[in-house]
Amino acid sequence: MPFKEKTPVVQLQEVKKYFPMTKGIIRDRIVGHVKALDGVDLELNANEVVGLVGESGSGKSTLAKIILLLEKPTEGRLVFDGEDVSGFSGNDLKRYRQKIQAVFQDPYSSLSPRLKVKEIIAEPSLVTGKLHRKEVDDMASEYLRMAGLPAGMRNVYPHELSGGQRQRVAIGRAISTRAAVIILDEPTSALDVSVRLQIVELLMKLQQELGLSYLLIGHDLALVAYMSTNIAVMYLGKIVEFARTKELVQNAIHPYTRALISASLPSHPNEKKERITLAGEIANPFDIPAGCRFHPRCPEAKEACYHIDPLLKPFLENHWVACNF
Amino acid sequence: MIINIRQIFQRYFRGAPKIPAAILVMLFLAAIFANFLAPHNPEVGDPRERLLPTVFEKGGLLKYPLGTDTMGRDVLSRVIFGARVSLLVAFSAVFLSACIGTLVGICAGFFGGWIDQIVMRFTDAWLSIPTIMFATLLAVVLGPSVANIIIIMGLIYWTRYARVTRGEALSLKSREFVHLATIAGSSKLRIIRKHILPNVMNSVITLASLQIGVVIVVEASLTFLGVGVPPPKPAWGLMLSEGRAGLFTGQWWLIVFPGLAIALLVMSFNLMGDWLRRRLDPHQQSLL
Amino acid sequence: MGMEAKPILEVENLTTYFSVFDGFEKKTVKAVDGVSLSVTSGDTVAIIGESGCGKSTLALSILRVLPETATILNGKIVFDGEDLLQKNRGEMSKIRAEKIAMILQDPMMSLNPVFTIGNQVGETLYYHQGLRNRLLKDRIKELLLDVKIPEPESRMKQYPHEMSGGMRQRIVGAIALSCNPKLIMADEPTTNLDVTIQLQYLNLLRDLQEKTGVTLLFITHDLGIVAEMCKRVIVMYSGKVVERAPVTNIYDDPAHPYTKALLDAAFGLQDLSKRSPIKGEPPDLSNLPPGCHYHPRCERQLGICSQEEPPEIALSPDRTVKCWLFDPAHRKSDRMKH
Repeated sequence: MPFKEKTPVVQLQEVKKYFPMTKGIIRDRIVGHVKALDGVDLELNANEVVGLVGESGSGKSTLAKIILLLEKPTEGRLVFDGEDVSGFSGNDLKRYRQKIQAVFQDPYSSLSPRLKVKEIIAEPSLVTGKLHRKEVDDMASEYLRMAGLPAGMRNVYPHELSGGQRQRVAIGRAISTRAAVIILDEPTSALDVSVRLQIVELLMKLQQELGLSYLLIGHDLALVAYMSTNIAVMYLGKIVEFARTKELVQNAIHPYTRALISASLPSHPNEKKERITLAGEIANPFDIPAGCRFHPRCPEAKEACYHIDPLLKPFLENHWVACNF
Repeated sequence: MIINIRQIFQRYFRGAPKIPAAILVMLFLAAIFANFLAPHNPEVGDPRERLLPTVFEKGGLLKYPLGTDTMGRDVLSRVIFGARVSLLVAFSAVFLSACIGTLVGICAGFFGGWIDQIVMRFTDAWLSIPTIMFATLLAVVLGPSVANIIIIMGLIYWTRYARVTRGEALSLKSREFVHLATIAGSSKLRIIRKHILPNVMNSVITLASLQIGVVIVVEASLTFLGVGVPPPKPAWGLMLSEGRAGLFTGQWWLIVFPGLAIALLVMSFNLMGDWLRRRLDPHQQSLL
Repeated sequence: MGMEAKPILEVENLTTYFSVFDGFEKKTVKAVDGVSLSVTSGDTVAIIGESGCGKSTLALSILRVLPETATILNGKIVFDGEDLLQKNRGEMSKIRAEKIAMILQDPMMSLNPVFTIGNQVGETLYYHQGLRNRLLKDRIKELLLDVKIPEPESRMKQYPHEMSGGMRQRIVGAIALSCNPKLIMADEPTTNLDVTIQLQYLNLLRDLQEKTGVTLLFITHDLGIVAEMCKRVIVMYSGKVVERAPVTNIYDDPAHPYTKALLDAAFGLQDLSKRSPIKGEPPDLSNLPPGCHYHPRCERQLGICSQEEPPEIALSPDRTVKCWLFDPAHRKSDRMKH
C-alpha cells in the first residue's frame, strides 16, 4: 500500500444533513427541519485517530451515519480516497462498504443473538464472497486471537459473553475486512471501568499494528484525548474547534470547548478547577439560534455573535476555530 | 449419562406445567399410534350394537368401554382417531398461517414506508372479516375436506402473526447488529434471512402454541356446523353434532367424551403456550 | 471526623443473596456478603465499584425494595437509630416517603410518562403530608425552584417527554426532596447526562446539601464524581467492602490493589500518559474464586490470597482495608505470586 502524503482518506466537505419535520394527517406538510449537520468539514488521514466530542444534539452520531453511508448527505460531499462517494449505491456501495467498518456503543445489541461468534466475525467476508464457508473457522480463530480472545470462543453464542468480550468480538469483526477506516461510536461507554482501558489498549494496539484510521466518537473528553491524534469539537451540527489533542486540551480557544474542558470532572479531590458555567439548556437542532448557534449560552457573546454564523477557520498552525472573536 | 438427560430436561423444560404436558404427550401418542390403541374401526360400526352405553352402566359392554354411537361405532376408537384428525388439522393450519403471517409481517416491518402502510391496512381489513362466516363461505365454495379446512384456517388466522412479526421486525431493524450487517455490505434479503427471521421465531412459536387451542375449537365448530371435516372421518366436532340429540334422550356419552377431549387438548395447549411465552421472554432474568 | 457528628446510617454485616437459575442448576449469587459501613449525618459518601460489586443491591437492601429473587439473610440496617430490617411494610413505606430518598440513573424510567410533572412531584406531598390545593401547588412550585427549574407554573403541567434529560433528572431530584429526607442515595445519577449538564446537576446537589444538611450517598463507578463531590469513599468488590477511607487518602495513597488499579486505569485530562489496564474480567458472582475474590486479577498476590479470605484491617481510625498485604503477620514473608 503506497504511502499517501497526507491525502486524507475520508473527507467531509460542507456536509449538511437535514431531517424534515412533518405535520398533518392526510397530506404531510413540512413545517421545518431538524438540522442534524449544518455544514461540516472534516478530514481523516491515514494512520490517524480523530476524536469527535460533543453533547446531545451535536450531530456526532449523524456524522457517523453519513460516513458509513447509512444516511446520504442532504448537501455537501463525502469523499473517500479522493473519490466522491456521496451518491453511491448498488455495487459501488458494496465496494465502499468493504473499506470502512464500525464498532458501536452497545455490546449487547451489536451482536446478532442467534448467530455464533464465528458467523458474526465472518459475516462481512462471507457477504462479499471472498471467504468460503469452510474457511470460517480458521478465519474466526485468527481474528479472535487478534482481539485477545481464545479461539474456542468462536462456537459460543453472544449471550454467553460478557460486555467486554462482546466488544472484542465486534472489534475482531471490524478488522476482519481489512478495512482501513473504522468508525468507533462510543466503543467503551457501556463497559465496566476496569474493562474500558483493556478495550482502549486493544484498539490502540490494532491501530498501530494495522495502520488503521479511526474516527472516535465520544462524550468523555479525557478518554477521547487519550486515544486521539486530533480532536474535533461539535456543537449543534457544526464543528466549532479542531486541533491536535495536546493543543486543544491545553490551549482551547472556543468558549464551548473551554466550557467542556472545565466541566470535566477532576482527577483528584484537591484539584481546584475554575469552572465555566454555561447558561441554559442544550439547544434543539430543530430550532437553531440565528447568528452563532452558541451565542445564547456563550459567556463571551458579542454583538456580532447575534448575527454572524462563524465559519471554521484556521487560527493557529493546525488549530481551527469557528468563533466571532 | 442419566444425570445429563435430566439436566437437559431441566434446562429446556424448566417450570413446565406437568399435567398439561402429560395430557399432550398422551394425546400425541394416541394420535400417532391410533391404529394400535383403538380397539375398533372408527369409521365403520355394527348397526346392531348401536347406542350402547358405557361399560360402567347397565347394558354396557366391555367391548365398547365408552359406548357406541348411532351407527354402532365405538366411541373410544373415534375419540382416539379424532385426536389424529384434530392435531393434524391444528398443526397444519397453524403452520400455514404462521408462514403467511410471518412473511407478511417481516416485509411490512422491515421495509416500512408505503409497503408497510399497504400491508397493514390490508391486514386490518382482513381481520375485520367475521371468522366463522368467512370460513363457512369458503368451505361452501371449496367443498368440505380435511385439506380445505386446513387451507381455510390458514387463510383466516395469519393476521395475528403479521402483527406480531411486524412489530418485532420494526424494533429489530434499528438494532445495532442490523446496522452492522448493512455496513458489512449485506443485502436486505440476507439481513432478513439471517438476522430478522431467527430473532422473531421466539414470538412466532409462542403465538403458534397459543393459537393451536383456538384453531382446534374453530375446527370443531366448523365441523359441527357441517362445513369442516366431512363424515365419516372421526372428528370430535362431528361426534358432537351427531350426538347432539343424545343429550335429551339420555345418551350423554356421545357428547361428553369428545367434548372432554377437546377441552383437555385446548386447555393443555393454552397452559403450555403460557409457559412457553414466559420461558422465551427475553426479559426473564433467570428467575426461579 | 467530628465527634459531634453522629452516624445516620449504620449497616452491620449485611448479607443479601439472589437465587438464580443458570441453565442447568439453581445457583446462589452473593450480591452483598457481610457488608458493614457507617455514614455520618450531613456527609457526602461514595460507594464505588463496578457492575456486579453489589453496590446497587446494597442500596436496594437499605430501602428494602429488592426483587422477589433476593433475600436478606442477616445483618442490621440502623437508620437514624432504628433497625430497618425490623420494620413492617407500612413503616418502611413511611420511611421511604419521609426519610430516605433515591435517585436513579435513568430519569425516563423514574418518571411516569402519563402523569404531569406537577402530579409526580406532588404525589408524596399529597399522600404523606396531606397537602391540598393552594398549599400543594405552592409547595410544588417551591420544590421546582429549588432544583432550578425556571417557570415552574408552566412546567408543572408538562409531561416528562417534553423535557430534556437534565431537566428530568432535576425533577427526579425534586421528587426526592419533596419529603425533606435525611438521606439521599444517588445511583449513577449523572451517567446519562451530558458533561455540562452533569456539572450543573452536581452543583445543584451540593447546594441542596448546604441548604438542608441532607446526607448524600453516591453509588457510582465514576471516580470523577468521587473527586468532585465526596468526602469519604467505600470501595466494593464482588459483594464485599475492600477499602474505606477519606477521599484524599484514596487518591493519594490507595491501599487495596483494586483501588489502586481503578485509579491507574482512570482517564484524566491532566495526564494523558500511558496507562495500564486491570487484567481479567469482573468476577462471576455465582462462581467466586476461593480466598480473596480479587486475587486472580491482583498484581501483588501473596500465597495466602488464593487460600483464605483476608480480614478487614484497620490502618487508622478512619481507614480499613481488606487485604493480606496489610496483615502484619504476612507482610514481610511470602513469595510474591504472579
